[in-house]
Amino acid sequence: MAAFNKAFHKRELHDPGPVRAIFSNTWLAPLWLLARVYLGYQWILAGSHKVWGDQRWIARDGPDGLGLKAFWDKAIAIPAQGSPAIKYDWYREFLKYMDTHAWYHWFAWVIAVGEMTVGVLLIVGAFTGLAALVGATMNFNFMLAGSASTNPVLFILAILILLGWKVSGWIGVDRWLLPALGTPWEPGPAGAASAHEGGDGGPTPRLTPRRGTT
Amino acid sequence: MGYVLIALVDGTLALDNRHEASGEEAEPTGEGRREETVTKLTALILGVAAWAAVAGLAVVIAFNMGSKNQVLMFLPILIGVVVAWGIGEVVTEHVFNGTKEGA
Repeated sequence: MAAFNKAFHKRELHDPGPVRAIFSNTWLAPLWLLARVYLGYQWILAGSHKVWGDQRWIARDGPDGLGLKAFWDKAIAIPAQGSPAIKYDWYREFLKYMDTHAWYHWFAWVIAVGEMTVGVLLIVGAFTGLAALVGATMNFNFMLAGSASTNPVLFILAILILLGWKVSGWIGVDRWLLPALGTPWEPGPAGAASAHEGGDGGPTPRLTPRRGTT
Repeated sequence: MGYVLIALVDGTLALDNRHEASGEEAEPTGEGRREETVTKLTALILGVAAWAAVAGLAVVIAFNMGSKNQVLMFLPILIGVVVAWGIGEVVTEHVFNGTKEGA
């Protein structure tokens, strides 16, 4: 027991310099900008086919989501020969459940609007980490459904942007948004304002040091 | 609401209110302070509009050009982001930091 306590007791392991330089240093923000805009554009492209044009999934004259239903039907089908698109039975059952309950009507909106939103947020660099996480989740699900396409590359890119969330939106709206809103462990002025207006009487959270302050 | 919006840019007003709460004299006062707040709000609204324009540009390009020659499509969006960010940096420096710390 003493050995376990010694091994786990309040030991913080620090990242090596190169890792911190890549994921935490604003000097490399231009590199993250390139990755972010590329990924965002790919998401807007993917979403545009679903919200616009003859083959769109939503806002059609007939029922919405028929395109998604076709995708699900193809994914959950088990061919007589060869291997099925979905490797995991639990995921096939999950899609089958959504398909048989006609969830595609509203889920098509979730995917189409979600893809557009993720694309726009990545391009302007607002809530970049959150947008990358949502994008990676969609990539992950598309891959589980047997659709490779560009998903593996976009997934890796999203994970890297997610890891570099502190600086990946630096040349973007996050440059102002993150210091203002703060983080769960360091609330910004907006968070402090909410607490002040709420009159909880608690201590004023520490403000992020302002740029240019000496 | 306006309080939170201003705080979104640089937290300047939040610092002002802390001055008030602690009984310190806020500078400038009265008309000057109102003018300063209007300037900040205008800067904030223009900033939000600039970023919305970048988002609109990206959507318009993607919808109209699709995946044809992605490098050419990529560049205007990239330039739009950099320009909006650069303007934001300059405006933040002059409108927000300058008023509180430049004096």
